[in-house]
Amino acid sequence: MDEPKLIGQAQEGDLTAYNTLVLHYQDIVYNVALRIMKDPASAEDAAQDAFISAYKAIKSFRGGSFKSWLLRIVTNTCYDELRRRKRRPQSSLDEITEDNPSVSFMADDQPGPEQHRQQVELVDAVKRCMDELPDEQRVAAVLCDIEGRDYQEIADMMSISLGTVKSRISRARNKLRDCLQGSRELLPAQYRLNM
Amino acid sequence: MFDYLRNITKSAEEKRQERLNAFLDDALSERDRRQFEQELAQDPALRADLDQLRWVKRSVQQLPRVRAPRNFILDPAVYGQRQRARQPSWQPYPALRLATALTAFFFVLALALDLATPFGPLNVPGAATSQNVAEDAVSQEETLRQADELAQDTELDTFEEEAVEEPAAEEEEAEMAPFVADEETAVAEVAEEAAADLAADEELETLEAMQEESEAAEPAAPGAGAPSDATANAAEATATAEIAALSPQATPQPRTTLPPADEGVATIIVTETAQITEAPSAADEDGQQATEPFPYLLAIEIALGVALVALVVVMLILRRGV
Repeated sequence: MDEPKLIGQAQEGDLTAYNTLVLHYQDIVYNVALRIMKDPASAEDAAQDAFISAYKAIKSFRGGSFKSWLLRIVTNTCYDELRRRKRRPQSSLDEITEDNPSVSFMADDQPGPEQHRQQVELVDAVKRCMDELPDEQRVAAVLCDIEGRDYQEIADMMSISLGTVKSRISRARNKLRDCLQGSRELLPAQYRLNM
Repeated sequence: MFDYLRNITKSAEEKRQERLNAFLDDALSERDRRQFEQELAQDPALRADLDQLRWVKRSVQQLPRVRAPRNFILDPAVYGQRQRARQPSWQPYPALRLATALTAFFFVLALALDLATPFGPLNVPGAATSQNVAEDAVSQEETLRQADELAQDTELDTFEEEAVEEPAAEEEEAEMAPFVADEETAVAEVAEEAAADLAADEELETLEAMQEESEAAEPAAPGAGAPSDATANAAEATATAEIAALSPQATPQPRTTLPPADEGVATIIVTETAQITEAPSAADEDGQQATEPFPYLLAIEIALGVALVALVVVMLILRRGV
């Protein structure tokens, strides 16, 4: 994929070229949205809104990493949605429990190998702990640990200072560690002894 | 600045944790990284904390990447058209806005021009002056008509008496002459007053000259030689003075067409009256054109106002549609 050429064509209004870029980056954008928004439906909406916003603003793209530019847009889109939800609280996923018959079909009761089960449980625990983080810390953790962005990129994407990025990532990891202490059986043996 | 203030308020443990995470993410400067590595080599608890954080980071990184549940490509039917619709070759709204602004400007300009005149939009000086001129012309016309009637009566009386009895006529004419002269003098005075309203100094001089002629005819009236000539001359002089007072342009014509006979006297009176009747309208038009600088200002104001309202309405409709 000739990304600079596609970006140039998209900037001239070529929607086909832009859609090629969308297909290339949609998984990354969706995953970031999913980790930030915490539920698939909201992540879909945020990802779609982000691609629409990016198309409208693509003429303002002045080179550099297109992926970082897209991540910045999706991060801001998610932020805006989270702020809107804080102003007008809606029913969240916390209300969706196993007691809710409408979602009970989503439970996976298929038994698997022990190792796979532990891995799945660990992932579930990490997801749960991630979801419990404050929005700002969760976004910083997602961008740093999942997307592998460096501190300066995160500072640019979130429009915050480098020191704030350091602080948010440090607090996010400490909270994740403390959260995972509640699932000691998931932790490796050496860590269980230390906690 | 804010980072510096925040660092001041941070506890030692917070600073330690931040350094640990920054080391883990390779976000320390070269000097800080070397210093931290030395501390790490000497502090087993620090190494344990680093291992825990490394494990947390690795656990987060193990979160599976999921595929997007659907494609997020943009629909060309929606976004392709919108992109094309954004840049039409000609957009009516800006052009309408410009036209509205220009119309409003000229409308205000016309209003200001109208209000700048001393008597306001309805009592413009040109209209007022033309009205006065028309009134003056009507009064002068009446005056002239009265003068003509008087002159005609006098002339007719004179001619009748001449035809009946010449000697007696001579005496009677000698007796009547002062009255005729007086009447002529009165008519001349009325004409002079009318002339004073409109005519310039030159016209007044002409009137005075004619008055002198009529006065010169007065001493000759008692004589028996030419009473009818004196009467005709006086009437002619009066009419000429009146015409001269009203319209300098109409003055020379009666003199050139003056017939010697009696029928000619009647003809000249009719001609003079017709010319005098035409004269006020001509003077009216001249005065109106001369005193009213913008004769079509009111019409222009109305047209601009209507156009402005129409443009504003169309612009608002388009704006709502944009």
